[in-house]
Amino acid sequence: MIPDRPTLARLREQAAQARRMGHYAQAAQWERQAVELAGALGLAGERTRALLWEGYSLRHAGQADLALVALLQAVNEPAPAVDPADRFSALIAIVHLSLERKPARFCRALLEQGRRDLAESRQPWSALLDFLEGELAFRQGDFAAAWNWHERAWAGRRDAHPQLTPATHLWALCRTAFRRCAPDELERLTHQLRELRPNSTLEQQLVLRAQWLHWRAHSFAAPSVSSADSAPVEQARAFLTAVAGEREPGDVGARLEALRVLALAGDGERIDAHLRCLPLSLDTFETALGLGDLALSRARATLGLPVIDADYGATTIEAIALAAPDFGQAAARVSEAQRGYQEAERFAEEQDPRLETGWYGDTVRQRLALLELTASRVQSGTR
Amino acid sequence: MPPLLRAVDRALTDAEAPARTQIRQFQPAHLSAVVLSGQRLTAFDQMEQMLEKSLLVNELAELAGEVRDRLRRQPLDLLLNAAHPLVQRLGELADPDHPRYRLVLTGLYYSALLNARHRLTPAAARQFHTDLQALLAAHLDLQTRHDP
Repeated sequence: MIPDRPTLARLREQAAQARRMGHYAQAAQWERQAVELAGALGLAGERTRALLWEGYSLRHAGQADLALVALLQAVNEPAPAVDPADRFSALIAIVHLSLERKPARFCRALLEQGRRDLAESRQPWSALLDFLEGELAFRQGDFAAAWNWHERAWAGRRDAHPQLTPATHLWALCRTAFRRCAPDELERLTHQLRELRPNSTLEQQLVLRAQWLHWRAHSFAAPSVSSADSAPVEQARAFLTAVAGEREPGDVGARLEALRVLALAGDGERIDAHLRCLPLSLDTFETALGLGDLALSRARATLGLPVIDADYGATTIEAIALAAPDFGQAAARVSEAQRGYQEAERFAEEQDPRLETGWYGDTVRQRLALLELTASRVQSGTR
Repeated sequence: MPPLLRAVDRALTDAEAPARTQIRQFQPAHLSAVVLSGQRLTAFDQMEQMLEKSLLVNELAELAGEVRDRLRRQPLDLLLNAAHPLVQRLGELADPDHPRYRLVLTGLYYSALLNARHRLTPAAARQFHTDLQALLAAHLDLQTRHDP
C-alpha cells in the first residue's frame, strides 16, 4: 500500500476511536504512525496535530516523559505551516503535565509565557490558561481561588479549537465544589455534567465520579436520604468489576473514588476483593491517603463505630461501639491505615514545598489525629 | 531465563548500567551484541537534537533537559547474538556468574554501545575505560604465564 493522505486520515480516525474507548496506549501507537507518515508526506501541519494527540494519548496512558517528548516537538514546530491552535494546545498539555511534577513557580512561568503568546497573537484562547490557573490553585489546596478560576474558564469557554471539552470544565468545577463543601453547587453541576451524555469512556467516568462525589456530600449532610439512593453504590461496584478486567485499568482517581463510596456503604468485602485482584500501590499522595482512609474506615467498621468520610471533612468520631468488636482485626486495620498515612506524609513533604502550600501536610495531620482516636479505642479494648 | 542472561543482567546492574538482555540469532554474525533502538531511544535522540540546536528556550528547554536525562537513565535493550562465537562460548560456561567473567560480560555491553557510537555516555565511557584496563592487565597476566 502506498502511504497517502487517506491512509493518514484513517490512522487519525483509528486513534480517535481508540481514545473514545479509553485505549490510550493503542491511540498513541496510531498517532505515532500518523506522525511518521505525515513527516514522510511533508505535511508539517498534519504532523504537528498528530504529535499533539500522540502527546495527549501518552499522557493518559501514564507515559508522561514520552508525552512530553511529543508535545515539546509540537510546540516547537515552525509557525507558517502549522496551526497556531495546535501549538497552543501542546503548550496547555505541557503545563498540565508540569502541574504533577514541577514547582509552582515553574508552572506560573509557563502560564505567563502562554499569556504573552496570546497577547502577541491576539488569540481569544485565555479560557484554557484560566482553567490551568484553577488546576494549580486546586493542587495548592486553595479551593476558593480554584473555584474562581474554573468558573471564569467555564464562562469564557469557546466552542472551537483549541478548547477543553465541556465535561472537563464541569468535572473541575464539581470536584472543587466538593472540596469547598458546597453540596448545592455540586448537585447543580453534577446534573449539568450528566446532561451532556458524553460518549467517550473517559468522560463517562467523569460523570460517574461527579455522581459519587455528590452522593458522598449528601451522605455527610443527610445520611438517611443518601442511604435510600443506592444507584451510585451499584455503579461503583459495577465500575470496579469492569476495570478489574481491563487491559488499561485507567485513572487511579476514579478507582479510589469508587472504593470510597463502597467504604461509606459498608461494603468492605468488595473493597478487599477488588484490591486483591487489582492492588493499588502507595506511589502518590492521593493513593497513599486514599488507602489509609479505606483502612481507617475498615478499622472503624470492625469496632462498630459509625462510618465517616474524612476526605469530605469529618473531623470527629462518635463514641458508639459494638458489644463485642474484633479488636485484633481492628488493630491490623489501624496499622494498615498508619502505613498509608505515613507514606502520604512522605509525599506531603515533597508536595508542600513544590506547590508552595501547607495543605498536604495539614491534611495528613488531620487524618493522623482521627486515626489516633480510633487506635486508642482499639488499645482500650485489647487491655 | 538462561544462566548467561541472568549473569549479564547481574553484571550490568552491579556496574550501574542496567539493561534488559535478550538472546537471539541475527546478522551480521560478527556482531556479538547490539543495543536495540526502541521508542525511548528515539525519544531520547529527539530531545538531544532539540537541545543541541537550542530550539527551545527557558522553561521548555529545562523540561526537555530533564526528560532527556530521565530517558538516558532508562535501561537499554541489549540483544546478544547467539550466532557469535564469543556468546556461544560464554553460553557454554558452567558458571557464567563467576566474578572472573564479569568484565567479559560487561564488555559485551560496552562493545555494543561503541558500535552504536552516540549511545556511549561519559559515565559509561569512564566505566568501560576502567574495565578495559583491568581486562588488559588480566590478558598480560595470562601471556606472561606462558613466557619461558
